[in-house]
Amino acid sequence: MANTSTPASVEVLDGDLDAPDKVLRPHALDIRGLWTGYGRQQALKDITFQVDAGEVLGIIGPNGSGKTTLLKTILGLVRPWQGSLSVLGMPAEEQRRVMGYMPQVEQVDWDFPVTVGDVALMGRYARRGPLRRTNKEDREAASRALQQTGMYGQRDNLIGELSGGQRRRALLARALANQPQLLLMDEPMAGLDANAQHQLLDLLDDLRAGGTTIVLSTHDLSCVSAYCSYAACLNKNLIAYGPPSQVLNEEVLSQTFGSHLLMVHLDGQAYAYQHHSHDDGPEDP
Amino acid sequence: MLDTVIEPLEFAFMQRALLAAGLAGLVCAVVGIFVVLKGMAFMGDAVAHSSLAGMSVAYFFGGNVFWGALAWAVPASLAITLISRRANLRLDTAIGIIFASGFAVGIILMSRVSNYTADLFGLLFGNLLGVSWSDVILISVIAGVVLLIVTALYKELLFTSYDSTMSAASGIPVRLVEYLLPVLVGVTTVASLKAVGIVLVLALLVTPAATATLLARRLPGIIAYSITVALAATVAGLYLSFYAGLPSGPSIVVVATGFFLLALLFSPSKGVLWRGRRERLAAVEETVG
Repeated sequence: MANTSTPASVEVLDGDLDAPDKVLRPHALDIRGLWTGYGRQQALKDITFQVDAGEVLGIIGPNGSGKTTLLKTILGLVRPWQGSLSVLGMPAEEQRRVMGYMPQVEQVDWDFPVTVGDVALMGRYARRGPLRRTNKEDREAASRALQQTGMYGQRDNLIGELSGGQRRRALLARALANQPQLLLMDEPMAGLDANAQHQLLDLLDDLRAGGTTIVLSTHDLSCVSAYCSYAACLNKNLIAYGPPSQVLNEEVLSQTFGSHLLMVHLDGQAYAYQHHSHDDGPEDP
Repeated sequence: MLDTVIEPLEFAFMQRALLAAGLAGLVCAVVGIFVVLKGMAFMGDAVAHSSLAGMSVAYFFGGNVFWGALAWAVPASLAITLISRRANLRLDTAIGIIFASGFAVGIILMSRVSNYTADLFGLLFGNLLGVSWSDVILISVIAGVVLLIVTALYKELLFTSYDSTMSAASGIPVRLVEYLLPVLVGVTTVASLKAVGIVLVLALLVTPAATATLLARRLPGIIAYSITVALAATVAGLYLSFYAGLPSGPSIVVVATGFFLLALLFSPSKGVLWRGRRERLAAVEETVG
């Protein structure tokens, strides 16, 4: 494992984080010796890394490398076989209320008869618990999330009527409605045009400035190198972890993607394509 | 005209039948929405069929078939979920096993009864005109409890039906909901057995809810339409059965199906007949806007 850097030595990107405070605060995400899988099929092997609050981690790796599994394990949807996960100093399973998750759009039933506003409000359901209705505070939080994602104007539209980019933003609004301190996003950039990607990155910038920690999986290497403060190269085990400038080199990438990697340099941006995949290459900017 | 409406109500058996069918229709209309949205139709059908076993046991020992059906339906619903989860089988496989086994046990027990055919017929196709007041009370209690649970857990049922992964991730007790919903469906079918019988329960569970999804866009509207269609179909079906001398359960089902066909043809947003017109309008909007 080429663990080039521990988070403690990473340069603080946001000027407002002073050093002593940073030392005292628990990691936003602290994963140690994590092994997991489905049935007897191992999916993740001995994963260890930490992310500090307000940072952005980009996870890259080929299909089946365990990116989604890692996100789902953090959320408690996949049980760890071994190892520990803590979120803001507490066991991850007790911290679901401070996490927001944006799944891949393919995993959602878009024919369900709910509106964009309904979906955003669902982000607040768990806060209220059974027997209790959502209240004014919940509706305001949902409205704010819709405004943040630019979906407020579509709040009365059925989710089935949305375009691909709007669907993503509706799912993001649901995640944001719960005002998460840790936001997990599965392939948020896939299928977005350049304009929509920039809008999304601007929004993530605002969130991170507000102290939200973001973990996203992506195929877009340039997005990771330009935007993320950490990069994790995953292929069942953690090939490399650290600031993108140190991690994203040809050696690590070919180790991560094996023979499946096709590097494409376009307008000064680097993309990783997989030879055998049909739908995972990001669209050209 | 008014006499046509009032005359049947002078008979106590018609009053009981209307109450029993209306309550069954109401609870089926609400639970049926989740059944339609989650694709659980045959879960309900399986529980209804398998509860013939419970009904036959009760019948055999001279008890109330209702209690027999209820006592069978709850474990049968749980068993379907449990078998599919634990044995890692597809849900429709688990449904098939429970469906056929309960029905087989029921038929075997019923075959030991002397007036086998007539009694079996009543259980299979309902006997709405033979409903007693204690049946009506039992149906209202079941309907009341089911509606109370659905109201109390509306958020959780909605979110889990829509996206169980996300609702689990956000901390909603999805496992509980996934076991509870089949039980609610099972208990609801039992409440409807007197009205339409084992074979036709599925229609009451699915048709009003399906009609409603053609008429409304959002869930609150769908619930309102589903209830309206179910109540209209049970009342109109009973009157049809009264005046035309037809069996009551099938009459209700036929009327409900009629409503469904009307909605399928004439629904403003999804009606088959307006499709051409909607497409022309969309084309005009495209060129104008």
